Amino acid sequence: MRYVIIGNSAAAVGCIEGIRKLDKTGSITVISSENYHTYSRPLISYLLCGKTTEQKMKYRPDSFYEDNKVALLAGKKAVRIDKGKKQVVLEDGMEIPYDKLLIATGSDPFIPPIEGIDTVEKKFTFMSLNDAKELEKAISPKSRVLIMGAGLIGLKCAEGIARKVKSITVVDMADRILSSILDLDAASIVQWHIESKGIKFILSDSVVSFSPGKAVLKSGRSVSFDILVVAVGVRPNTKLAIDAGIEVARGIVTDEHCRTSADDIYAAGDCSESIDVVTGERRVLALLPNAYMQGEGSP
Amino acid sequence: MKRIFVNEKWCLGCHLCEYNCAFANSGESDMVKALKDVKINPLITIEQKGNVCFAVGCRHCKSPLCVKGCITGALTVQNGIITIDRDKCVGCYTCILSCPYGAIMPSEDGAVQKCELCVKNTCGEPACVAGCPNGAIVFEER
Repeated sequence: MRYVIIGNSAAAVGCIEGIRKLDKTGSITVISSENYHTYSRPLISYLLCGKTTEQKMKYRPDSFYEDNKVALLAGKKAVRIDKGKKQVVLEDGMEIPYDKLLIATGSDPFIPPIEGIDTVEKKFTFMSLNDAKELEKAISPKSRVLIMGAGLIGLKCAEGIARKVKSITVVDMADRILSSILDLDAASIVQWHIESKGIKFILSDSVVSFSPGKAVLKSGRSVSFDILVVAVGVRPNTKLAIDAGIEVARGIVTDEHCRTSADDIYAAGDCSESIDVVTGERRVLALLPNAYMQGEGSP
Repeated sequence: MKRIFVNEKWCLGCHLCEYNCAFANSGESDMVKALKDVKINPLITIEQKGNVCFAVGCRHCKSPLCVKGCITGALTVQNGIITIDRDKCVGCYTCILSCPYGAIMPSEDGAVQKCELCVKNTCGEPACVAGCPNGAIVFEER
Protein backbone atom coordinates (compact mmCIF):
# COMPACT_ATOMS: atom_id res chain seq x y z
CA MET A 1 0.00 0.00 0.00
CA ARG A 2 1.32 3.44 -0.94
CA TYR A 3 0.10 6.21 1.37
CA VAL A 4 0.67 9.82 0.41
CA ILE A 5 -0.01 12.76 2.72
CA ILE A 6 -0.06 16.38 1.58
CA GLY A 7 0.79 18.43 4.66
CA ASN A 8 3.14 17.94 7.60
CA SER A 9 1.36 19.19 10.71
CA ALA A 10 -1.00 17.68 13.29
CA ALA A 11 -3.35 15.84 10.90
CA ALA A 12 -0.41 14.42 8.94
CA VAL A 13 1.32 13.20 12.10
CA GLY A 14 -1.95 11.71 13.36
CA CYS A 15 -2.32 9.92 10.04
CA ILE A 16 1.23 8.53 10.13
CA GLU A 17 0.75 7.24 13.66
CA GLY A 18 -2.67 5.85 12.78
CA ILE A 19 -1.33 4.04 9.71
CA ARG A 20 1.58 2.54 11.60
CA LYS A 21 -0.77 1.03 14.20
CA LEU A 22 -2.35 -1.01 11.40
CA ASP A 23 0.24 -1.27 8.65
CA LYS A 24 3.92 -1.50 9.50
CA THR A 25 5.18 -1.98 5.97
CA GLY A 26 3.24 0.21 3.51
CA SER A 27 5.17 3.18 2.15
CA ILE A 28 4.29 6.64 3.48
CA THR A 29 5.28 9.81 1.64
CA VAL A 30 4.73 13.23 3.17
CA ILE A 31 4.73 16.27 0.90
CA SER A 32 5.41 19.48 2.82
CA SER A 33 5.63 22.93 1.29
CA GLU A 34 7.46 24.16 4.39
CA ASN A 35 11.08 23.12 4.69
CA TYR A 36 10.88 22.05 8.32
CA HIS A 37 10.63 19.00 10.53
CA THR A 38 7.02 18.81 11.79
CA TYR A 39 6.52 21.59 14.33
CA SER A 40 3.71 22.80 16.53
CA ARG A 41 2.09 25.81 14.90
CA PRO A 42 0.38 27.08 18.07
CA LEU A 43 3.81 27.46 19.62
CA ILE A 44 4.99 30.27 17.37
CA SER A 45 3.83 32.86 19.91
CA TYR A 46 5.66 30.99 22.68
CA LEU A 47 8.77 31.04 20.49
CA LEU A 48 8.59 34.83 20.15
CA CYS A 49 8.18 35.42 23.87
CA GLY A 50 11.01 33.01 24.67
CA LYS A 51 8.98 30.24 26.35
CA THR A 52 10.14 27.64 23.86
CA THR A 53 12.85 27.13 21.25
CA GLU A 54 12.78 25.96 17.66
CA GLN A 55 14.15 22.58 18.79
CA LYS A 56 11.62 22.19 21.62
CA MET A 57 8.69 23.19 19.40
CA LYS A 58 9.22 20.18 17.15
CA TYR A 59 5.92 18.31 17.34
CA ARG A 60 7.65 14.93 17.21
CA PRO A 61 11.23 13.79 17.95
CA ASP A 62 14.02 14.20 15.40
CA SER A 63 13.87 10.48 14.59
CA PHE A 64 10.11 10.55 13.88
CA TYR A 65 10.21 10.06 10.10
CA GLU A 66 12.90 7.42 10.32
CA ASP A 67 11.14 5.57 13.15
CA ASN A 68 7.92 5.47 11.14
CA LYS A 69 9.58 4.76 7.78
CA VAL A 70 8.27 7.97 6.25
CA ALA A 71 9.75 9.61 3.17
CA LEU A 72 9.54 13.37 3.85
CA LEU A 73 9.57 15.61 0.80
CA ALA A 74 10.17 18.92 2.58
CA GLY A 75 10.07 22.19 0.69
CA LYS A 76 8.04 20.58 -2.10
CA LYS A 77 4.70 21.97 -3.18
CA ALA A 78 1.91 19.75 -4.46
CA VAL A 79 0.23 21.53 -7.37
CA ARG A 80 -2.24 18.95 -8.69
CA ILE A 81 -4.07 15.78 -7.73
CA ASP A 82 -4.75 13.48 -10.67
CA LYS A 83 -7.63 11.28 -9.50
CA GLY A 84 -7.61 9.19 -12.69
CA LYS A 85 -3.93 8.26 -12.57
CA LYS A 86 -4.00 8.28 -8.74
CA GLN A 87 -0.99 10.54 -8.41
CA VAL A 88 0.03 13.87 -6.94
CA VAL A 89 2.02 16.22 -9.13
CA LEU A 90 4.60 18.49 -7.53
CA GLU A 91 5.70 21.96 -8.60
CA ASP A 92 8.93 20.55 -10.03
CA GLY A 93 6.99 18.10 -12.18
CA MET A 94 7.62 15.06 -9.99
CA GLU A 95 4.73 12.59 -9.91
CA ILE A 96 3.95 10.72 -6.70
CA PRO A 97 1.58 7.75 -7.13
CA TYR A 98 -0.77 6.83 -4.29
CA ASP A 99 -3.18 4.10 -3.30
CA LYS A 100 -4.58 6.22 -0.47
CA LEU A 101 -4.18 9.99 -0.26
CA LEU A 102 -4.72 12.35 2.66
CA ILE A 103 -5.16 16.05 2.03
CA ALA A 104 -4.01 17.83 5.19
CA THR A 105 -3.15 21.20 3.73
CA GLY A 106 -4.39 23.29 6.65
CA SER A 107 -5.50 26.87 6.24
CA ASP A 108 -4.06 30.18 5.11
CA PRO A 109 -4.56 33.63 6.60
CA PHE A 110 -7.19 35.76 4.92
CA ILE A 111 -6.03 39.18 3.76
CA PRO A 112 -9.08 41.43 3.41
CA PRO A 113 -9.18 43.67 0.34
CA ILE A 114 -8.81 46.98 2.17
CA GLU A 115 -7.89 50.12 0.25
CA GLY A 116 -4.14 50.69 0.40
CA ILE A 117 -3.30 47.40 2.16
CA ASP A 118 -0.95 46.45 -0.67
CA THR A 119 1.10 49.56 0.01
CA VAL A 120 1.79 48.60 3.64
CA GLU A 121 5.45 47.61 3.60
CA LYS A 122 5.79 45.85 6.93
CA LYS A 123 2.73 43.62 6.80
CA PHE A 124 2.68 40.18 8.38
CA THR A 125 0.43 37.24 9.09
CA PHE A 126 0.85 34.93 12.06
CA MET A 127 0.32 31.29 11.18
CA SER A 128 3.62 29.64 10.40
CA LEU A 129 7.15 29.45 11.73
CA ASN A 130 8.34 31.59 8.83
CA ASP A 131 5.69 34.20 9.69
CA ALA A 132 7.00 34.31 13.26
CA LYS A 133 10.62 34.56 12.15
CA GLU A 134 9.87 37.38 9.72
CA LEU A 135 7.88 39.29 12.31
CA GLU A 136 10.65 38.87 14.86
CA LYS A 137 13.18 40.31 12.41
CA ALA A 138 10.98 43.33 11.74
CA ILE A 139 10.12 44.39 15.28
CA SER A 140 12.21 46.56 17.56
CA PRO A 141 11.65 48.19 20.97
CA LYS A 142 10.49 51.27 19.06
CA SER A 143 7.85 49.48 16.97
CA ARG A 144 4.24 50.52 17.11
CA VAL A 145 2.28 47.45 16.08
CA LEU A 146 -1.27 47.41 14.75
CA ILE A 147 -2.98 44.02 14.87
CA MET A 148 -6.17 43.55 12.87
CA GLY A 149 -8.28 40.92 14.59
CA ALA A 150 -8.82 40.21 18.30
CA GLY A 151 -9.26 36.49 17.82
CA LEU A 152 -6.96 33.78 19.09
CA ILE A 153 -4.30 34.34 16.43
CA GLY A 154 -4.20 38.12 16.85
CA LEU A 155 -4.05 37.90 20.62
CA LYS A 156 -1.42 35.13 20.67
CA CYS A 157 0.65 37.34 18.40
CA ALA A 158 0.17 40.25 20.81
CA GLU A 159 1.23 38.04 23.72
CA GLY A 160 4.30 36.86 21.82
CA ILE A 161 5.67 40.33 21.05
CA ALA A 162 4.23 42.39 23.93
CA ARG A 163 7.56 42.82 25.71
CA LYS A 164 9.55 43.45 22.58
CA VAL A 165 7.75 46.44 21.07
CA LYS A 166 6.77 49.96 22.09
CA SER A 167 3.02 49.60 21.68
CA ILE A 168 0.35 47.25 20.40
CA THR A 169 -3.12 48.28 19.27
CA VAL A 170 -5.65 45.61 18.37
CA VAL A 171 -8.63 46.52 16.18
CA ASP A 172 -11.66 44.26 15.75
CA MET A 173 -15.07 44.86 14.23
CA ALA A 174 -16.76 42.74 16.92
CA ASP A 175 -17.96 44.36 20.14
CA ARG A 176 -15.64 42.15 22.21
CA ILE A 177 -12.37 40.27 22.00
CA LEU A 178 -12.31 36.53 21.21
CA SER A 179 -15.86 36.89 19.93
CA SER A 180 -16.04 33.35 18.55
CA ILE A 181 -15.45 31.74 21.95
CA LEU A 182 -16.38 34.25 24.68
CA ASP A 183 -19.53 36.14 25.61
CA LEU A 184 -19.42 39.81 26.61
CA ASP A 185 -18.89 39.17 30.33
CA ALA A 186 -16.07 36.69 29.86
CA ALA A 187 -14.47 38.74 27.10
CA SER A 188 -14.37 41.84 29.29
CA ILE A 189 -12.47 39.94 32.01
CA VAL A 190 -9.86 38.71 29.53
CA GLN A 191 -9.68 42.14 27.91
CA TRP A 192 -9.05 43.76 31.27
CA HIS A 193 -6.17 41.34 31.89
CA ILE A 194 -4.60 41.95 28.49
CA GLU A 195 -4.98 45.73 28.84
CA SER A 196 -3.15 45.50 32.16
CA LYS A 197 -0.15 44.31 30.11
CA GLY A 198 -0.25 47.55 28.12
CA ILE A 199 -2.09 46.34 25.01
CA LYS A 200 -4.79 48.69 23.66
CA PHE A 201 -8.05 47.64 22.03
CA ILE A 202 -10.33 49.42 19.57
CA LEU A 203 -13.52 47.38 19.25
CA SER A 204 -16.67 47.68 17.13
CA ASP A 205 -14.49 49.36 14.53
CA SER A 206 -12.50 48.33 11.50
CA VAL A 207 -9.85 49.63 9.13
CA VAL A 208 -11.29 51.15 5.94
CA SER A 209 -8.06 52.35 4.36
CA PHE A 210 -4.32 52.50 4.78
CA SER A 211 -2.00 55.36 3.96
CA PRO A 212 1.75 55.31 4.71
CA GLY A 213 2.15 54.61 8.45
CA LYS A 214 -1.52 55.17 9.20
CA ALA A 215 -4.76 53.23 9.27
CA VAL A 216 -8.06 55.05 8.95
CA LEU A 217 -10.93 53.41 10.79
CA LYS A 218 -14.64 53.32 10.00
CA SER A 219 -15.35 55.55 13.01
CA GLY A 220 -13.12 58.22 11.50
CA ARG A 221 -10.30 57.86 13.96
CA SER A 222 -6.86 56.90 12.76
CA VAL A 223 -4.06 54.77 14.18
CA SER A 224 -0.37 55.35 13.43
CA PHE A 225 1.75 52.23 13.17
CA ASP A 226 5.06 50.87 11.91
CA ILE A 227 4.11 47.22 11.65
CA LEU A 228 0.82 45.62 10.65
CA VAL A 229 -0.26 42.10 11.59
CA VAL A 230 -3.30 40.80 9.73
CA ALA A 231 -5.19 38.22 11.82
CA VAL A 232 -8.79 38.59 10.74
CA GLY A 233 -9.32 34.91 10.01
CA VAL A 234 -8.20 31.94 7.99
CA ARG A 235 -9.44 30.16 4.92
CA PRO A 236 -9.17 26.38 4.46
CA ASN A 237 -6.62 25.45 1.80
CA THR A 238 -8.97 23.75 -0.63
CA LYS A 239 -7.50 24.65 -4.01
CA LEU A 240 -6.01 21.21 -4.74
CA ALA A 241 -9.34 19.57 -3.90
CA ILE A 242 -11.41 22.05 -5.95
CA ASP A 243 -9.13 21.64 -8.97
CA ALA A 244 -9.43 17.86 -8.67
CA GLY A 245 -13.22 18.07 -8.69
CA ILE A 246 -13.59 17.03 -5.04
CA GLU A 247 -16.64 18.39 -3.22
CA VAL A 248 -15.78 21.52 -1.25
CA ALA A 249 -18.10 23.77 0.76
CA ARG A 250 -16.32 26.00 3.28
CA GLY A 251 -13.76 23.23 3.71
CA ILE A 252 -13.22 19.95 1.89
CA VAL A 253 -16.38 17.97 2.59
CA THR A 254 -15.70 14.77 4.55
CA ASP A 255 -17.84 11.99 6.02
CA GLU A 256 -17.50 10.40 9.46
CA HIS A 257 -14.46 8.43 8.24
CA CYS A 258 -12.76 11.58 6.84
CA ARG A 259 -13.44 10.37 3.29
CA THR A 260 -13.91 13.01 0.61
CA SER A 261 -16.21 12.67 -2.39
CA ALA A 262 -13.33 11.04 -4.33
CA ASP A 263 -12.34 7.39 -3.94
CA ASP A 264 -9.30 6.76 -1.76
CA ILE A 265 -8.86 10.45 -0.99
CA TYR A 266 -9.28 11.62 2.58
CA ALA A 267 -9.05 15.07 4.17
CA ALA A 268 -8.32 16.07 7.76
CA GLY A 269 -7.59 19.11 9.87
CA ASP A 270 -8.12 22.79 9.10
CA CYS A 271 -8.66 22.24 5.36
CA SER A 272 -11.68 19.99 5.93
CA GLU A 273 -15.20 20.26 7.23
CA SER A 274 -17.17 17.55 8.95
CA ILE A 275 -20.22 17.07 11.13
CA ASP A 276 -19.90 18.71 14.52
CA VAL A 277 -21.35 16.11 16.90
CA VAL A 278 -22.52 18.87 19.26
CA THR A 279 -24.67 20.78 16.77
CA GLY A 280 -25.14 18.15 14.07
CA GLU A 281 -24.14 20.77 11.50
CA ARG A 282 -21.27 20.71 9.06
CA ARG A 283 -18.43 23.02 9.93
CA VAL A 284 -14.71 23.58 9.86
CA LEU A 285 -13.58 23.07 13.45
CA ALA A 286 -9.96 24.10 13.25
CA LEU A 287 -8.47 22.83 16.50
CA LEU A 288 -5.23 20.89 16.83
CA PRO A 289 -6.65 17.88 18.74
CA ASN A 290 -9.37 17.54 16.08
CA ALA A 291 -6.79 17.66 13.32
CA TYR A 292 -4.71 14.92 14.97
CA MET A 293 -7.68 12.66 15.56
CA GLN A 294 -9.13 13.19 12.08
CA GLY A 295 -5.75 12.36 10.60
CA GLU A 296 -5.39 9.36 12.85
CA GLY A 297 -8.85 8.07 11.97
CA SER A 298 -8.60 8.60 8.23
CA PRO A 299 -6.51 5.53 7.26
CA MET B 1 1.16 -3.88 31.47
CA LYS B 2 0.38 -3.21 35.12
CA ARG B 3 -1.86 -0.26 35.88
CA ILE B 4 -3.29 1.34 39.01
CA PHE B 5 -6.89 0.35 39.77
CA VAL B 6 -9.07 1.51 42.62
CA ASN B 7 -11.82 -0.17 44.56
CA GLU B 8 -14.09 2.52 45.89
CA LYS B 9 -15.78 0.11 48.34
CA TRP B 10 -12.52 -0.23 50.22
CA CYS B 11 -11.44 3.40 50.15
CA LEU B 12 -11.51 4.97 53.60
CA GLY B 13 -11.07 8.52 52.31
CA CYS B 14 -7.96 8.86 54.47
CA HIS B 15 -6.05 10.77 51.76
CA LEU B 16 -2.84 8.87 52.62
CA CYS B 17 -2.33 8.14 48.91
CA GLU B 18 -2.15 11.87 48.26
CA TYR B 19 0.51 12.36 50.93
CA ASN B 20 2.53 9.33 49.82
CA CYS B 21 2.38 10.59 46.24
CA ALA B 22 3.50 14.08 47.22
CA PHE B 23 6.35 12.63 49.30
CA ALA B 24 7.45 10.21 46.58
CA ASN B 25 7.68 13.01 44.04
CA SER B 26 9.22 15.61 46.37
CA GLY B 27 12.80 14.46 45.94
CA GLU B 28 13.19 14.49 49.75
CA SER B 29 14.22 11.43 51.74
CA ASP B 30 12.41 12.45 54.91
CA MET B 31 8.61 12.59 54.87
CA VAL B 32 8.40 15.23 57.59
CA LYS B 33 10.82 17.50 55.78
CA ALA B 34 8.99 16.93 52.53
CA LEU B 35 5.48 17.64 53.78
CA LYS B 36 5.66 19.81 56.90
CA ASP B 37 3.88 23.12 56.30
CA VAL B 38 3.61 22.25 52.61
CA LYS B 39 0.36 22.52 50.69
CA ILE B 40 0.60 19.30 48.73
CA ASN B 41 -0.22 19.07 45.04
CA PRO B 42 -0.36 15.29 44.51
CA LEU B 43 -0.78 13.42 41.23
CA ILE B 44 -3.56 11.28 42.68
CA THR B 45 -6.56 12.82 44.41
CA ILE B 46 -9.46 11.54 46.44
CA GLU B 47 -12.88 12.31 45.02
CA GLN B 48 -15.42 12.37 47.82
CA LYS B 49 -19.11 13.00 48.24
CA GLY B 50 -21.26 11.69 51.06
CA ASN B 51 -20.27 8.10 51.81
CA VAL B 52 -18.60 7.51 48.47
CA CYS B 53 -14.89 8.13 48.00
CA PHE B 54 -12.16 6.85 45.72
CA ALA B 55 -8.77 7.77 44.40
CA VAL B 56 -8.44 9.23 40.91
CA GLY B 57 -5.18 9.17 39.03
CA CYS B 58 -4.03 8.67 35.45
CA ARG B 59 -5.34 5.43 33.97
CA HIS B 60 -2.69 5.35 31.26
CA CYS B 61 -5.43 4.90 28.66
CA LYS B 62 -4.68 2.73 25.64
CA SER B 63 -6.08 5.43 23.37
CA PRO B 64 -5.19 8.58 25.35
CA LEU B 65 -6.99 11.79 24.45
CA CYS B 66 -4.37 13.84 26.30
CA VAL B 67 -1.57 12.53 24.08
CA LYS B 68 -3.58 12.95 20.88
CA GLY B 69 -4.53 16.49 21.84
CA CYS B 70 -1.15 17.66 23.16
CA ILE B 71 -0.19 20.66 21.05
CA THR B 72 3.55 20.38 21.69
CA GLY B 73 4.23 16.65 21.63
CA ALA B 74 5.22 16.83 25.32
CA LEU B 75 2.88 13.97 26.24
CA THR B 76 3.93 10.60 24.84
CA VAL B 77 3.35 6.94 25.57
CA GLN B 78 6.56 5.23 26.72
CA ASN B 79 6.20 1.50 27.30
CA GLY B 80 2.52 1.99 27.99
CA ILE B 81 3.10 4.81 30.49
CA ILE B 82 1.78 8.25 29.56
CA THR B 83 4.77 10.44 30.18
CA ILE B 84 5.18 14.21 30.27
CA ASP B 85 8.25 16.03 29.02
CA ARG B 86 7.93 18.99 31.38
CA ASP B 87 10.61 20.89 29.52
CA LYS B 88 8.59 20.79 26.29
CA CYS B 89 5.20 21.51 27.91
CA VAL B 90 4.11 25.16 27.64
CA GLY B 91 1.17 24.83 30.02
CA CYS B 92 -1.63 25.33 27.46
CA TYR B 93 -3.82 22.90 29.46
CA THR B 94 -5.36 21.24 26.38
CA CYS B 95 -4.66 17.88 28.07
CA ILE B 96 -6.42 19.00 31.24
CA LEU B 97 -9.49 19.86 29.15
CA SER B 98 -9.23 16.58 27.20
CA CYS B 99 -8.75 14.08 30.04
CA PRO B 100 -12.12 12.47 30.81
CA TYR B 101 -10.99 11.65 34.37
CA GLY B 102 -9.48 14.93 35.52
CA ALA B 103 -6.18 13.15 36.10
CA ILE B 104 -3.87 15.86 34.77
CA MET B 105 -3.38 19.05 36.72
CA PRO B 106 -1.36 22.27 36.71
CA SER B 107 1.87 22.35 38.68
CA GLU B 108 3.63 25.22 40.38
CA ASP B 109 6.14 25.75 37.57
CA GLY B 110 3.69 26.25 34.68
CA ALA B 111 3.93 22.81 33.08
CA VAL B 112 1.22 20.23 33.77
CA GLN B 113 1.81 17.26 36.02
CA LYS B 114 0.47 13.73 36.02
CA CYS B 115 1.04 10.27 37.46
CA GLU B 116 3.88 8.40 35.77
CA LEU B 117 3.55 5.30 37.98
CA CYS B 118 6.56 6.41 40.07
CA VAL B 119 9.01 5.42 37.30
CA LYS B 120 10.79 8.77 37.46
CA ASN B 121 11.31 8.76 41.24
CA THR B 122 13.09 6.35 43.55
CA CYS B 123 10.02 4.36 44.63
CA GLY B 124 10.09 1.71 41.95
CA GLU B 125 6.43 0.83 42.47
CA PRO B 126 3.64 3.39 42.88
CA ALA B 127 3.84 4.94 46.34
CA CYS B 128 0.08 5.44 46.57
CA VAL B 129 -0.44 1.68 46.23
CA ALA B 130 2.29 0.74 48.69
CA GLY B 131 0.93 3.12 51.31
CA CYS B 132 -2.80 2.42 50.99
CA PRO B 133 -3.79 0.95 54.37
CA ASN B 134 -6.87 -0.86 53.10
CA GLY B 135 -5.83 -2.25 49.71
CA ALA B 136 -8.20 0.15 47.95
CA ILE B 137 -5.54 1.04 45.35
CA VAL B 138 -3.87 -1.83 43.54
CA PHE B 139 -1.18 -2.12 40.88
CA GLU B 140 -1.90 -5.07 38.65
CA GLU B 141 -2.33 -6.48 35.19
CA ARG B 142 -5.96 -6.81 34.08
